[in-house]
Amino acid sequence: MRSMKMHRLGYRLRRWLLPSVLMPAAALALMAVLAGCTGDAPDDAGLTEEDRAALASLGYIEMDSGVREAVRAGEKKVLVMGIDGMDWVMTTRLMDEGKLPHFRQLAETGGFGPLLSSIPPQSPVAWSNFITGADPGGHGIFDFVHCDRATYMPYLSTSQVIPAPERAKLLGFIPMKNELALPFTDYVFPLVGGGTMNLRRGVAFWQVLEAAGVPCSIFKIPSNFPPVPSETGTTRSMSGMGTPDILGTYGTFSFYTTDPWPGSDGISGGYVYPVRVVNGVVDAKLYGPPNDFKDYEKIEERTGERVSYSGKKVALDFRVFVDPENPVAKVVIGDSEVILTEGDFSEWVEVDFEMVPAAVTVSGVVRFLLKSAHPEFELYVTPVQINAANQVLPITDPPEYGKELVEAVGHFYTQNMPEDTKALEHGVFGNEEFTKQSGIVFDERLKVFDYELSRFYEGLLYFYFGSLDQCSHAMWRCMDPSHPAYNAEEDAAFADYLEGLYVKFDVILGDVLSGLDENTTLILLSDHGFAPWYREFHLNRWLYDEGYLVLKSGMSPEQVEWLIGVDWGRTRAFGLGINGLYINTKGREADGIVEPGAEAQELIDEIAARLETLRDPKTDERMIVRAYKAAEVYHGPYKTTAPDIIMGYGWGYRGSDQTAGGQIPSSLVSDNTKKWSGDHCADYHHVPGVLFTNRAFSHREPSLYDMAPTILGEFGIGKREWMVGRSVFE
Amino acid sequence: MWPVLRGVTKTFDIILAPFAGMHPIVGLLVVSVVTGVVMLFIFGKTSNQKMIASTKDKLKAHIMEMWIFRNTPSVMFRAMGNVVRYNLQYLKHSLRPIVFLFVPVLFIMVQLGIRYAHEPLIPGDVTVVTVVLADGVRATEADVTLEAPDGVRVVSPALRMDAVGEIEWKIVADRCGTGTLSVITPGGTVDKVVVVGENLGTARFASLRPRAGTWDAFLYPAEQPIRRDSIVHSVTIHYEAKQGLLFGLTFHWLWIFFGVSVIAGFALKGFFGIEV
Repeated sequence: MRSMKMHRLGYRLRRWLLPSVLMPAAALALMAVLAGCTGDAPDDAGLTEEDRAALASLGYIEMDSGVREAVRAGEKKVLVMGIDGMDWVMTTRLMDEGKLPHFRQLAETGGFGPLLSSIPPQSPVAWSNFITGADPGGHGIFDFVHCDRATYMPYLSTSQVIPAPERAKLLGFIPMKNELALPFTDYVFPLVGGGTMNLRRGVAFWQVLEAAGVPCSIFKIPSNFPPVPSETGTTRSMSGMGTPDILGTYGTFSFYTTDPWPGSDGISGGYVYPVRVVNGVVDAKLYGPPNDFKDYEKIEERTGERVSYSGKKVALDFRVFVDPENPVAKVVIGDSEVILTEGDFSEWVEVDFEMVPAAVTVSGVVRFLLKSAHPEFELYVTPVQINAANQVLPITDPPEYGKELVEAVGHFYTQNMPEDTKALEHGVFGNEEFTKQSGIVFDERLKVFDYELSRFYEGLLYFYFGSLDQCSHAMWRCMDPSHPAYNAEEDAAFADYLEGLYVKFDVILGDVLSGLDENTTLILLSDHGFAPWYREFHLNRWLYDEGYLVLKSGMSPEQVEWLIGVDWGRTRAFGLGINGLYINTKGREADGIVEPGAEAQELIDEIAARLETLRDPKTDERMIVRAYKAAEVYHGPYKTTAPDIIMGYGWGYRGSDQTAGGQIPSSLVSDNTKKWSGDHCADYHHVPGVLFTNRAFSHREPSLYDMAPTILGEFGIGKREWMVGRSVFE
Repeated sequence: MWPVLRGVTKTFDIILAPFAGMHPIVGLLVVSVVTGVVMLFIFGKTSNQKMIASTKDKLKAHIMEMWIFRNTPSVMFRAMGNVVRYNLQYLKHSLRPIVFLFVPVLFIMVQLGIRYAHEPLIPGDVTVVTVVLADGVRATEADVTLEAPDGVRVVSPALRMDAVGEIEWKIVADRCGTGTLSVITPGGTVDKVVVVGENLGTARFASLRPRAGTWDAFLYPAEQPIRRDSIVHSVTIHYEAKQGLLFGLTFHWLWIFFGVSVIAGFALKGFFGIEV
């Protein structure tokens, strides 16, 4: 009996006393203690020691006289509009057809020309060229995907999540395990948390401007997550490409349906949850991140059952009321209720995932789309966005900037590349839903742009638009009946969609031009253009067929994923990422076999020469027009970490997704039948971007890495020593 | 009950009429100060002033005793006990006036609630209208429709929820003005006033039109309660809560009301010679 009473007492303690009293108290006490805790905390994503040394050695005080004074007086402003994926060929054609009158006006009164992209012309690489004024050898971003030389596993190149360290020091000097268990509960608190690290190296041009006293606003520039912290508080920035959703992914949607299709439980970029409508009600869960505040070892020990990854995710129950006949439903989630009519997206809804009752909550925002109420119930939920006003990961610097934006324009998409191309790819979206969702992204971005323009009185404003890039990827097929993915019935109605987007940008430019004063330099540029992606080249298949890549005995090529199954003791080269080819070099790769130096160079020359002669068996076209050798095209301290060969694919060709993921499909080249039908990861000469300025420029062949010295030059600051380009105005 | 509520409402309409064109905070402050004075007066008339004064004196004495004998634990603990004792005694003497204050303050709060609790819709606003049906009426079987006045549109089909006995629609405000939403049922039409506009000051409107004979009918006296024989139990328009009443800061009107009333009461207690 006594033990029963004690049990009840314990239960009451856990149920009421802990959440209401002890946990907040414990949280407060922890905060006080943690203030004195240290651990092997991750890099703050700011400047490395080398970067600091580089900045210090530059001698800002020797800057051209009058710069600081001019800046302080607000005499000089630079507005940079970054329109990802704006294609030079298409822009020129539409200008010639009279559909872009404001771009035409700007070209005639200022400067206009193609802007060379990076090698390879991938957005994180290209924008890093723009940011640093260096090529990939100077900033260390070579592809969307890099190879971990110790494990041969791929990882995302722009940012890295750093887990909390195993050990920490209490009060700065008492070593102990990095967790503090809360008595009577399954909760543990790390003494030192993890973090995120921006993997782009080098110095951003706005850091130079900041050091010179120029106030900067940097909105959503790619390869800037977490945002570079401002040293002086005069720069405000919001991270762009590389920014995850609340799950830590690059966007994972949720789709609730009464009609799941075969294979829907294993799609990439989203989760499909089967649901049932009972008496007009659907009960479901929205999943958040894994709850790292729980001691799963303890739970498993107590229950005797293993906790799966999905079981670790914190979930939020929600209920949907569905009318039995009308195409309408209501979602009730947390304190929010949203009525949805079929085909319409809701406004943003705040969702709070409770990690520790009454102590730790992770805040996100979602939109709902009732795709269908009848006969099947289909509800799409956007990836849970990090709430800019209450950030679980740092997406703005300072954090108050996020709050300010939310107060000014409301919630908005914070993840990188928010257009949900995955939902389109998997048939959760049709063209109609995709363009509607993209339109929301575009309109939100425009609201923020208007807000930033309204407070742009001095210094630099960089503003990024990503819609054209993502829509060109996903909707290219609609304007190209020769594309293998073209479906006349579905796509013909959207043939002019991309053109319409260009026209929208023309309208925006018109507004900008009408408000531009004589002290403002306008630079409008894109990081690359676009090309159709008709055929996908399977690099690892070629390496396997030619004997450069060897599998372990018993493995068939089709079984290989993430390069698992490769016999590294006999493999000389492998492909990873969209454009990268690596030589399995001794002393660099974990199980490298090719001697560095002459042997490696000979192999690079041999493979590059052979690749450039390859022709498509179906079209007889050259699939790879240039195989660039990293040692020849890159400059700077990080060029030794680059892939050895960078593939310059021909027009209409691209490295396959399977190649990027370390797979070996059965054929060498195949039709691209995906919705992702346009691309830019070809040879960079095929996909030039655009450069518009409001005064003429003299550079005959401007490149992205010329833009950082150009912007610095506008403020009277000379080109820095690591920059490989020069101002386009010189 | 409705005639009484209507009378009180009309009285408040008259009281607040001079502030109609002003910022809403003006009327709220005036009502709060007057309420503070009235509460003070009622407190003075309904409480045992002598006992309250005596209890307060004893309280002060024991608090001082705690301070003076803080190094003598036995005296200090005894003083603490007395502080608790006279605190309870003070509460006891306050109970009677609180009972007398409760009813008038409740009436005042209800009247302020239908003027300060919500913002009217503004053109472009999207909100939801909820019709709660009487017990036993199934939403999917009830033939209920919604008609909107000029300046307001119904933009969704009816969402009928048997599980909770409700029907909902989404509406959009297009133009400023006051109109009437009509919930049409086989047994008749139930109207609900909808208000669209900016800077409406102390305009009187409620989010809820309740059924007669319910507690809500007392709390939402802006419109006549729905007849008891209707299949409609209540109609709600989901207005936003009023924000930024005090110098642009977000305060719930109740905090302002109580804060100002109490400050006014304490500030004037000496003037009226009332012990609180």
